[in-house]
Amino acid sequence: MHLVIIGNGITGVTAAQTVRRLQPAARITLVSDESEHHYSRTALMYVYMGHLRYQDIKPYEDWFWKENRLELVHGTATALDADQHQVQLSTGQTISYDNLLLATGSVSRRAGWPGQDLLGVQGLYGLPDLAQMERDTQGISRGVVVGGGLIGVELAEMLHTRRIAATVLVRDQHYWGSVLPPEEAELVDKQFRQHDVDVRYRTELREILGDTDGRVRAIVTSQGEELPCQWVGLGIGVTPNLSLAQSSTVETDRGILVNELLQTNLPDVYAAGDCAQHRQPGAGEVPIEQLWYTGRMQGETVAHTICGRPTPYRRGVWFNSAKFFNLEYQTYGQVPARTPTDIESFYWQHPTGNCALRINFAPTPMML
Amino acid sequence: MGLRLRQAVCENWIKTQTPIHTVIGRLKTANFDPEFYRRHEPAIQRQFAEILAVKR
Repeated sequence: MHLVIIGNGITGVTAAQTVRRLQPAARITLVSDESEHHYSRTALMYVYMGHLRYQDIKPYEDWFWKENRLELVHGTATALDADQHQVQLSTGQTISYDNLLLATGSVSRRAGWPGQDLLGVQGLYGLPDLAQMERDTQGISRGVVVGGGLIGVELAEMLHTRRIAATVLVRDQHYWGSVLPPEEAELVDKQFRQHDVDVRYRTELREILGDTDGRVRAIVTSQGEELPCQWVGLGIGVTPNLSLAQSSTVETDRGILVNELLQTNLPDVYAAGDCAQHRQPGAGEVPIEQLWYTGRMQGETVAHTICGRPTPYRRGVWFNSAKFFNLEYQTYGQVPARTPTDIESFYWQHPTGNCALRINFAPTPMML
Repeated sequence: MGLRLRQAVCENWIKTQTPIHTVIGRLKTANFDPEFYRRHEPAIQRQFAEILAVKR
């Protein structure tokens, strides 16, 4: 069996390792145009901040791949021919597969703002973004970050460590308004204040202005205010990377459509991780999961099915974690931004405002 | 926020629909930092009791 995996992020690599364990004789090829070796995407910011070097965020030594007979191809998969069971690469090479896993991840979203293609405007998703940010923030005095979510706060923290003044535009009236209740958001706001980040709530980006060299010189907010800056970070979320999928007859919507076995509409073609969209997500679950740990779970699950042990993907109890400057965050189960009327919410906060605990429960009987 | 809880313990509480009294009473079993709970558990439990008293 020759398994070809497109993408060497956490989903693709977990699938490769799981298949190697379940089927020691399988031939496994990982194709990636992003990096030669797998690295930990969630640690990208620490490289910019100087806490870690790039080699430190590679979870495996470079010999690991050969030792485990995982063939690495550094190139772009440009076309998929499902009838021939072949993938075309940018190198001119064609790879034949018995099973194909699409684990192509995401791309940063852009909202179609005027000026969004100017030099110095970018998202933060992968290694090329890190290199671009390293280059374009050298010696600058102010950056503007668009988006009040996880990447927004990361970008602000990154700028802060380089002593670059940061302004963050947040559409909602408080930070991460779609996810965090107001009390928790206030704790994050305190982190912003303590780190001298200028946060503008209820404010969106209207346009980005460039200089004669095509480089960012300012932005204009939805209130019409012009803020001079030399760099703009886009943190308004990601969307599935469909560039390969669109070269084929694989069915897509916002993501690559999969059933609960993570199978696409094409024979022997699977999709998992950020790029996959579940046709029938479980109750209370979203169809596209763009999380590190669900990517790992999907990679492990799809490997079983590929090895002839059909295993439906079951996400289990929701979990997520993040860090906002010095404040760690964990959540288990459903704790929405607005507590539903039939749910009680217990909230305790330490007098220092440095930690807090919220537990939502049903009122009668009083249980989780 | 600012706390690290054990995933297995929290998941189990949610899956088994554990009574909220039990959860509040056993918070330290979920915490990675027993010292934290030794110091703050009384305050958390007191606040929970006060809320219950108001409801009744």
